[in-house]
Amino acid sequence: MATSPNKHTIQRGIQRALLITVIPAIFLTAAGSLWLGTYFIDDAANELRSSVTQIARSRMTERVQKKIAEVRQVATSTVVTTGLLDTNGRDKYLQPYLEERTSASGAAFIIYDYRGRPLLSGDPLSPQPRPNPELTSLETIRFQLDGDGLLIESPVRSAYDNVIIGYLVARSSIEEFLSEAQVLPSRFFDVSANLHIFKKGEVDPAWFIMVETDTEAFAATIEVEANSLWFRENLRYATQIGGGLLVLILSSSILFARSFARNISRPLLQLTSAADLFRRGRIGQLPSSDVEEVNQLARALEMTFLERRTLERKLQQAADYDPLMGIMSRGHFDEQAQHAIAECKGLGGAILLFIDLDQFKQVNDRHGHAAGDEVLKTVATRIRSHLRKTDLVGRRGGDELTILLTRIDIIVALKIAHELLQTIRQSIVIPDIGTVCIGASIGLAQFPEDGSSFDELVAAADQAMYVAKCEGRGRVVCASHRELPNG
Amino acid sequence: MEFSRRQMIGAFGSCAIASPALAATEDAVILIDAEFGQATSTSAQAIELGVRVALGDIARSGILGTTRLTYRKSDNRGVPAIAVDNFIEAARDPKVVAVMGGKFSPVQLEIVPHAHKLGLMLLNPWGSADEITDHGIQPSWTFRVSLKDDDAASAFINESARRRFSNIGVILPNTAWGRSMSAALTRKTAKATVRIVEENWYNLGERSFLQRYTAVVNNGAQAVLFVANEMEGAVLAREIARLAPQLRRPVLCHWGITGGSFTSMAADAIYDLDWSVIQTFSFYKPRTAKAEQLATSAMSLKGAKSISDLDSAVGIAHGHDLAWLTALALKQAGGVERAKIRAEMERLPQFEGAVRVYDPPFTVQRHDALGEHDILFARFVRDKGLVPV
Repeated sequence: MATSPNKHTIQRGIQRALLITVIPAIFLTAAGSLWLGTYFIDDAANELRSSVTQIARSRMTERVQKKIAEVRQVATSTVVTTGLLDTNGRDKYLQPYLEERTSASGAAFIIYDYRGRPLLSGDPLSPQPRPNPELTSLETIRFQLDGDGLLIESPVRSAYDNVIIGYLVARSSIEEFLSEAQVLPSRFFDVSANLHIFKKGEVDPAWFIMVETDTEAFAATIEVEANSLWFRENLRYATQIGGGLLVLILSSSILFARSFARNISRPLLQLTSAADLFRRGRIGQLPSSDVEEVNQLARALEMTFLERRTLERKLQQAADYDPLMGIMSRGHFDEQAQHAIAECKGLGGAILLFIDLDQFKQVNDRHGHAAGDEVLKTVATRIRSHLRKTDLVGRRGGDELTILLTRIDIIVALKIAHELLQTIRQSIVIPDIGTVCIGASIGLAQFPEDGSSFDELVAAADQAMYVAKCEGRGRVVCASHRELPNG
Repeated sequence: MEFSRRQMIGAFGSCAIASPALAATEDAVILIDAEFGQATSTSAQAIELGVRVALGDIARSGILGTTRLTYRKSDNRGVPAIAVDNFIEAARDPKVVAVMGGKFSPVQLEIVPHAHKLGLMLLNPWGSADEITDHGIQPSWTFRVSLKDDDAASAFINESARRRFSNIGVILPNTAWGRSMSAALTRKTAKATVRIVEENWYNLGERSFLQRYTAVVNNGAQAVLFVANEMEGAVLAREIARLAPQLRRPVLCHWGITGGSFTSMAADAIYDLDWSVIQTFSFYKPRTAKAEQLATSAMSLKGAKSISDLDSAVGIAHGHDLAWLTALALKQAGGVERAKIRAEMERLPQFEGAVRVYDPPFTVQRHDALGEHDILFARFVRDKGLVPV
């Protein structure tokens, strides 16, 4: 069947398109969601963490640098240096000096000797042993942030060479430090963490923060904070829900596409079948679809079918019937007559009358072709009105007509032939011309006695009509009997 | 670089190996704990040189019999806390019979209570603060062969009077040394015609003394008594040298500047100034035959060509004499028992040292071997160094 490949082509094409586009899209979407939900979020969290750390470092470095500068100023003061090289009599001048610096900067200063032991006797702060004394080998200013506050430690060097002779630790309250670093969310520092700020470069000192092993809590807290950020959790949910919705939408799209394809292809196949039927002269059932465009196409095709059928009928009509006389043309008559004769075989005889009008040429010559045409129309009308509906009447050409009478006895046929002669002889009134009288000669042949085929039957009837012409016109001559009595 | 405990021990050990006086069979050790590592210091090295000469002589004399007296050294950088730690560490070694300190008075003063607590002698060859020996603790474990601020104050007052300075200004460090000197001057000027018009205190590490000097001068000081070590001394000397002659005042300087490379830091400025330094000893003016022997031996050990190359002469002489006195006490004690040695230090007979003839060196009540009469003033002479006036 011609439509089958088309059917497969459309459906398989759609299916192939789905396979090529939708399924990879599903996989890509799922992979994307997976990536978004896992790696991207983690990357984003890491990036956030990094950003927070950088901001923290930047801001802390800035703030700590300010503090460090204050501490360094104290640490490099000759008072502190002298105190570390003096006896316990230092208390008289060193303690007041540190108290003055404390009131100026807000930080409590503690001096330790070269091994990290508190230097001043009766220190009101009752300082603990110097924090992390194991780090004394580091020639750095150290910065420590813990729950108690901000500790900045600076080495104190000898007045005579570069040797570290002690350490100055400044302890500030954490609140005071945080209030300075207002741009930092306080949660970043609400931890027990140790950070160390090291000096890098002697000529152009740059400070950086190093998170050491004992400061993992700080890093962990940043991580926890980053993890608990609202958008991160919701982003995860959003991607999971979004990914699921996307898969659902794509699945629905596949089903919809398949249904849509069927709604298109099925009516198209039906339309194709209808077109085939129409090509074979029939109009089949046109499809009804949910797709409006298909329905419009079906309706247009139906209108085309109907208009073409009407046109064909008109053309057939024009081809089958003589336009002037309104009776069958020669070809159509021959076709119909042959068909009728075939059907009559064994069911009774068929009689063919071959009629030739007499003196018709004189009418044309005397009154014109319009009058002749009028005569022919009148003759045809009279003949048709005298015959049965099942009888066939055709124009053979010019003023010759043939009539096939089926399932009729020869006697009845002869009687009809004579009645036709009488009908034709009746005068014909032509407007503006007047009355015209015309006659006819009729040859009669009987099937199958006078011819076993239609052509033979026509030839026999023509021969009989010729005999009637020869014998004086206005008469009926039977091919078998040559001549029958008038009336 | 930070001076760590481990490094100190390293210095400790390396010296023991390097010292020719040490042997595997050492019986008694004097630890020299001084400012060896301080960049501009020459005092510690001078003390060590004097001790080396003495120990060599002692060994050759055979007065200790089978007992070998050697020395070790440790570096306290002039930092009291380090010195205390070194002292405590040394006290753990029973072979250490005494610890000889360096030039910084605050360092010695911080050790004093530990010396008495641990029962280990502190030998003081340089520090001048009175309380090193005048601490009132009995029995006393501190012995000094050195200048004492009380005597130094008298000497300064006398020198000022001799040079007809009725008004002097004092610039002194804000340390125990400065406080000791200030107290001594206050005591001495109470009975003297010389008046102190201003005491101006400075902190260690100051980069300029011009403002203090100007303040003192503006208060009518005819001379300036400057209590300082080599760094501060060199700064003031160069600043005064840049002043117009009419603005310059004579400087009577304590001897801390001679414990370091003062002349090289002050450069030629010092030779153009009226700058006198208090001393107790000079190789240019030997008082005893031992002093001449010491000069010869010291130059030999150091590889010096002349006595002008023997920096910090007082350190050499004091160290030498203290080592000898310790050896004598060790001999009298008949063993390395610290308490006995300490007691014998107070019972030593007359002894001719490099600085003077000690008769006796110490008593129960007097742990200062030198006195005001041992003091002299010296000035810096080009190519000679410090020469007695």
